[in-house]
Amino acid sequence: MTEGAIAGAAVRGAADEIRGRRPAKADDNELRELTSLAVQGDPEAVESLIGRVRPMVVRYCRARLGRVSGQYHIADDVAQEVCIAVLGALPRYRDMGRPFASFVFGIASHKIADALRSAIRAAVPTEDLPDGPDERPGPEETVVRYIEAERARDLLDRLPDHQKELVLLRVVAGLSAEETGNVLGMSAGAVRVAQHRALARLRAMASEESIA
Amino acid sequence: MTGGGTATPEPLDLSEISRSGDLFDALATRRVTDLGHGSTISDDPAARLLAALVADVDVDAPPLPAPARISRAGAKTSGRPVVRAFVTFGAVTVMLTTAGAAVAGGGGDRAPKAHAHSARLEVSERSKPRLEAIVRAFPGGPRPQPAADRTPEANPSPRPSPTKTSEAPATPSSGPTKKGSGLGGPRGSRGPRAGHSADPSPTLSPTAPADLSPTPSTPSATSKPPDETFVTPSDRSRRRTSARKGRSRDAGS
Repeated sequence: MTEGAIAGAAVRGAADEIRGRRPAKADDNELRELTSLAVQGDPEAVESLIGRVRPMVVRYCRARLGRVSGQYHIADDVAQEVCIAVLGALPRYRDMGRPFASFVFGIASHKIADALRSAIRAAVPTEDLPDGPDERPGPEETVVRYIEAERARDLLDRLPDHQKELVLLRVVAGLSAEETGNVLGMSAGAVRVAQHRALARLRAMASEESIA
Repeated sequence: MTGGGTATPEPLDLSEISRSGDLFDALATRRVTDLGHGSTISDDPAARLLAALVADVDVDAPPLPAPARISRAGAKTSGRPVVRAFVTFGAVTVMLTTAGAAVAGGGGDRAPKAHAHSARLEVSERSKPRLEAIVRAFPGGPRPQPAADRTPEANPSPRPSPTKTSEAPATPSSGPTKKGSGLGGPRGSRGPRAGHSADPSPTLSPTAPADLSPTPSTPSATSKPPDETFVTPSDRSRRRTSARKGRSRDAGS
């Protein structure tokens, strides 16, 4: 299912970091070269690769798992497990023509499924009381955002699986239409049409909810 | 679009698809306030919910590696036109340089040949009857006595400068050659054979159809005044005829 384009975009920047080039100049060959370096055990390449992949994996896991007791600890833990699994599987990775992001999101989807099955409800660690002023949004704003995010998740859960996956990759993970198409095995045009249909369905469901 | 018993999908509006794409791009790049097309999040409940989801998952999360993707899009819009402009400028420069060199270097060779070819055609096909008629009408034309002999030393022409005639035997061609600005004069004046040839016949062949004249005296054009720029075949034939008659008179006397 989902493999790779996140790594596609992520790894491009990593390749540039390694070679001292601008991220804009990254291309597929450089990504492939960086991935091959990481597979061969180059620590710098591995660090760059994971550094680029991890932010997208974290968001993807957060969007899929949501908050537990108001916190994202479970999702972040799963994202961390995904990164560890990617590191462990990296020596066995073989370039079969698909982007590295497909490989990463494949692992992420399995880890999320495991987390949902186990239904972990561990104790939620709490932060220490801050000593200084807290500049984060206030309680009311946080609650409103939390409620709307939960509504968005509910609506996304009612979408077909491929549309849900597409919206998550496109919006939450921040992939472009081309990268999302690489992950899902679609063309960029098909991604645009599918995202349009998903958005229309989301609008219809949101309108129904607001009327009800 | 419809297949068998499946439900008919809604017709696709390209502008709507483009608008949805802009919305997704704005959300993906976290430009939530700029959704494009003048729309705002509050107008679209689905966009507002997706933006809330994005803002929720971004809290305390490591920053996205967006610069790679954004700069790549920027390169499409800003970098490529610059490269294209440079390539276009270089190509145009090469074309202009090549064209200019061809005109400057090769034009002198081509133009006399073309003119010579057209002159030959003109004389051979059109002028022969007229030439004969003119010869009959003007048996002893008032034209200045040409150099009856082809050598200027024997009978120098009164009009051309004596210094030029003494320098080279191809004096007749040197007149228009050095002027070079007349409409008829430049014929062959820039040709490779016009400047250095000691034999007047090849020099004059492009300009004067001497090989088609009644007499084989190809340098008959030596009688052409240097200030005469328009020389028609009939003029040349008149001169040749008068020169021939002058020679015959000289021989008789």
